[in-house]
Amino acid sequence: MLHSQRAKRAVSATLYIVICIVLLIFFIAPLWSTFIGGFSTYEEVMTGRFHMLPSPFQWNFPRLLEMTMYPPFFTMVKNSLILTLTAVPTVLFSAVTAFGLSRFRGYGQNVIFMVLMSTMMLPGIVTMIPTFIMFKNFGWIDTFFPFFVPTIGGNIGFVFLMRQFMRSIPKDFDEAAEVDGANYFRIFWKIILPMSKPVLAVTFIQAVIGAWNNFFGPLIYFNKTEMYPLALGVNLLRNFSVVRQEWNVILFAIFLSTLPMILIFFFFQRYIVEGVVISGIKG
Amino acid sequence: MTENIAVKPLKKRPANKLQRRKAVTMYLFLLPSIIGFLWFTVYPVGRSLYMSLFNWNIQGPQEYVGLANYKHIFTTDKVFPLVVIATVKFAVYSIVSGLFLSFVMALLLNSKRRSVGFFRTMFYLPCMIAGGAPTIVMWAYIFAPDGLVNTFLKNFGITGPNWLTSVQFALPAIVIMSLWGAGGAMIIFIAGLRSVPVEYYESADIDGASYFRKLFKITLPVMSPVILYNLLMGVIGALQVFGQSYLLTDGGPMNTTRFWVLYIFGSAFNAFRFGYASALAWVLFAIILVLSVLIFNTGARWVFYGDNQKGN
Repeated sequence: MLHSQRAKRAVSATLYIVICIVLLIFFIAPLWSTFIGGFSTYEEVMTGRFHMLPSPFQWNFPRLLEMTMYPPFFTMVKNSLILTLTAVPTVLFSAVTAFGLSRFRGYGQNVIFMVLMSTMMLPGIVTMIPTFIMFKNFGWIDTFFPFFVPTIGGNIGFVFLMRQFMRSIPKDFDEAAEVDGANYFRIFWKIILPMSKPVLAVTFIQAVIGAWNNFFGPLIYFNKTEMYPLALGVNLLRNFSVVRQEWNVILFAIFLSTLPMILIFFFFQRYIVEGVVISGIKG
Repeated sequence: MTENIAVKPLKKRPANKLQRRKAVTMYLFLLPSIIGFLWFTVYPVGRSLYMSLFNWNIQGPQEYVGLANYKHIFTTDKVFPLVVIATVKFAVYSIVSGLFLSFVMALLLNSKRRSVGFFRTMFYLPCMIAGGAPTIVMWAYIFAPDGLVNTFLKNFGITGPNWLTSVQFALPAIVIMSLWGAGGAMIIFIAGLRSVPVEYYESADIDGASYFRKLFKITLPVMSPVILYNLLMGVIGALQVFGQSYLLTDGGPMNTTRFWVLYIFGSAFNAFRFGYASALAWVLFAIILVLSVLIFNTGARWVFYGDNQKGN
């Protein structure tokens, strides 16, 4: 009896580790090979003679420098950073909305909430075409306006998370502040917003990642290559090399443009995971 | 009736004034989102519906054609059936395999082993960057004729296909890419598994229930709301797949990866048929709406809500 149980446990432990390692290869090998490929010579990449570890002496500096000349790599970095700034107004406007939806009773805010939530089912492409035409008529092509102006509506997913969080803050805080003569704007700014730091962090990180990864927007709103963020530029690099696709250079660019997100992930892992969990379980 | 009108305001006036001020304050807070909603949702949605009744290439005059665009979609458009097939195929394959994979990963990582945290981090990492263009371009390298996948297969004596230009393998390749982001659903499943009451398993253990019996009789029913959520999100997401086919296959080979949104995008921004693209977008919207309602309603039948939540 005891013996068979131990055997069972050994089998399940072996199964666990084998499946996990297979999955680990599936999830990590693509990134690892990108990393290695980015630090290899053209010949090495094209013949598939891989090293398991990057060899710094193989760095192809002239080629990498070439890459920074055209398309201008640091311009793309700058553009990506500007786009990630949209995270600030997105989070702020979402918080304002969540406050309005969570700290008041009555007045029909639940209806408003349901209407806003229902837009999650709306495919982005439906609104994308008329919005594009509108912004084109405004003369906003090749500007950052199409990315910053729509943040006024916030992000409905964030509003949901923040509303959930703010509802759990006791009403006593508002009432005490009201007795002290604070108005709702002070309550929002001085009490609720500071207390909502965890959910603000979660949504801010998500917004940064979303803005960094976004390429549908840049694809239609940017015509000039000097407006391109990394998300578009990497592909430009692929199309630009007509004679031969210099995969070592492309892989290096992919590595550079995903590195910030990977670092953010490792630093803020706890917050990121929390956000995903809240939206999934309470939804 | 008249009595009510006469009495109520008199009685409640002081409170009403405060109430009204509160209401005004609330709507001040909601003002940005209402503006955003009207400007970037209501107006574009209406405009899109209106545009779908016209032929328009954005430069010239708008020509009213009634429902002709919709009629064209369902009768004479030769590409549209292929678009539907490609999109449905992708949705079914990616959702079924994605839910299965993420659920299995969640079951594996819901134990008390010490390595669980490490694997969870590593499995989740890709889904953060999977949607971005750089990692999609990375897959072009991995699925290249002599890329990582085929090099790996060569070790077993298998000559891999040229994935992204093969009629047979282009769609499966994109499904595999989508599985790379399965970590997101996994995290949600893990959180769901944590909320299953331990007593259920304890009493099942006393009865001598096997692992799979517990899985099918306890875990799956209790987890059904989470499965419903992941299914719904999966359907909404999969029907809007775009980046992979735009960057890697451009809808080819032979339209096997021409997904719905890519077709809309092409109709609008390459063929400049903005009216037709709007009609296509509206058909997609209608389908997502119907599917969401359908999933939600049938969900009432197979989704198990805990006793304490029944009221909701």
